[in-house]
Amino acid sequence: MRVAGTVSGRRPGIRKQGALMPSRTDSNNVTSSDVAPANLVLLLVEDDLLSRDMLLIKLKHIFTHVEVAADGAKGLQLFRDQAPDIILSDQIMPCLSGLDMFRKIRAIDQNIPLILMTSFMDNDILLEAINLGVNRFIPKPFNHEVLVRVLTELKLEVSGKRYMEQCRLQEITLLRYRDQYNAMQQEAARRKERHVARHDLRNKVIYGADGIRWGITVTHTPRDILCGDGYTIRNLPDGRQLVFMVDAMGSGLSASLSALLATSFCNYLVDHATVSLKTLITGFQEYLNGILMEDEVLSCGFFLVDLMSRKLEMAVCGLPPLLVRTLDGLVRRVPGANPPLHGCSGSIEITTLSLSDIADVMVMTDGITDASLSESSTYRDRLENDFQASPTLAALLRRFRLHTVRGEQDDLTLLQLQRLDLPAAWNWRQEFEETGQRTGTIHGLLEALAGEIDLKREERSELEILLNEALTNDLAQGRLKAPGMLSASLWQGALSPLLTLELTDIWPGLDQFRNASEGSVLDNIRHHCDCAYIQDPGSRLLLLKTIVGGADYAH
Amino acid sequence: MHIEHAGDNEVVITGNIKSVEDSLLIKETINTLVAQGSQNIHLKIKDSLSITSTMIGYLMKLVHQEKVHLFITVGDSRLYSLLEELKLLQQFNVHLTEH
Repeated sequence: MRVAGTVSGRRPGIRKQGALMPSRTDSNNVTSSDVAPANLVLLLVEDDLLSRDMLLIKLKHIFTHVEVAADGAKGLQLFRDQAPDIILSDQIMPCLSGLDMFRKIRAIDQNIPLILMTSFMDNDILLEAINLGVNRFIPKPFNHEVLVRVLTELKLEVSGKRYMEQCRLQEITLLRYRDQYNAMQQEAARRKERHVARHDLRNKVIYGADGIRWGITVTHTPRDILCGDGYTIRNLPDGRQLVFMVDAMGSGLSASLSALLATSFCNYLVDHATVSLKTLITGFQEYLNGILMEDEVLSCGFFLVDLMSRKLEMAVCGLPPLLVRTLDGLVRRVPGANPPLHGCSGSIEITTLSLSDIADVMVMTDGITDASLSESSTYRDRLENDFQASPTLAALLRRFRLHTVRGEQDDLTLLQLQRLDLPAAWNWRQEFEETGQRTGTIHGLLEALAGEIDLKREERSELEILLNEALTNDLAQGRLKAPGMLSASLWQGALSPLLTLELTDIWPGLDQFRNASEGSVLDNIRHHCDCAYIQDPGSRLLLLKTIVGGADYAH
Repeated sequence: MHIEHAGDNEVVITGNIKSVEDSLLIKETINTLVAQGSQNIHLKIKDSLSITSTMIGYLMKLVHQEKVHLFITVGDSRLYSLLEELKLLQQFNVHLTEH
């Protein structure tokens, strides 16, 4: 039975059974008409025809949609089919009484407003009705004013709740959209940063005078999505390398933009101009004067690496002093010659460092030196000691993370130029003809090494994994083919010895490494050592690992 | 961090200069003195071991663009070393006070 004004089927905004959620999933499209009281549906359950007709006359003025059932069983069916917003029911009816019907409805929907009409209001009925959560009672015979007032109040209450719920859903949707948007922007910014920061020599061996091999490693850890630090490492056509590191002072987007622009322009100069450090810096300064705000400064360093001439030309402006270690382990600090750059900077002094007896050079931004050790000290206080103990960047970073206060760190950029051919205190080498010999080769090396230095048990296990990964796994994948050679050397210039493992493949199996330098195979190997380099040409893989040994490297 | 100014051109800072808020407070104080006509500013940093990059940028602007004559005395040798590393001792007329 359907009264005039009722529409067939589900309407927008109609309640789903057992839930308060509006049926619309896209709450952004909610309009005022969706939450208008007129859109609420009333289910009237009344077996008496006369009462029903009289009620309908009144109800039509309050609700535009009224579903009608002649007994409790039909009322229950209509509740399931039409999902009304309010139910008005008589108590005494054939098949299913009003309360019996309400009990079944409550099992499905705990929240739908229920109104009970009855001429007999004894205590048992009243108690059960209260327990079932009946919202209102209307005594029979009807007082029309009471009926209209009760229904109007409930209608407004339901409309208000519906409106609040839809507002909440709108807000949640909006927040989700904003989160997604922000995440998308952040990822785009990260991609851009990675795109601008170049490392032409990642995992690659660089040749210097007398065939001495070198490598450059870098770590770059932004504190936020966009970072005030930047770097670029470029291999120049004449065989030299240009390293640029920048720390835009200040914080937030402004510093990030300055760092990104400076790095990008430096790349442009390298790609489009003849590189002498002087012309590069002049062009850079001209550009910088146009982009820096009047109270903005930029710490940066230009490093022109000329390994054939064994020298490092540099213009360091406001970066922390370089840490330089000689082949015999002597560490010294080399301060920059210039203050940070600003819009009115004068000429920049270029200095030269001889690399003849240098084992490695560490360059960093102040995120390393200014990191808090405690309330009254910074990492600057122990940096030099930690560097003395750490032959690689990875080893230094482990110490840094161990001692500094987590969560309070600035952007970190740390770069190491390191000699790979170091005066070894111990050497070992073995050829292996067949793949079956590799296990014996690994064990032979580990035994020999354990006889030379105090190897921690975990270190031995880690070395075994590393060597197996480098030999076995890659043999299986056809990257390294037998016969080959495994050699090892120890350098004890730093307090913790540096183990260099070198895999030589006389077949071109390692060629595939070069093409997969970003791939999972090398990533996996890198996980177990401090750094990995591929020699090109020559089919050699160099793995560097700091040996902590019996000493506790935390101290 | 605590800041106070004595006379027309002296600003005294106690505690660590760490946050952006610290830098803003110092900038505001110095700006007030400069607006009142002070062309010589004496900044006494009693015990801070560091200084923010925002402050360095501001002080550079003060010296190079507004041509303010700046003197800084620092009480902590670590801050003095930092300013020395940054090659700012001369530009900012930095002196280490003895304790």
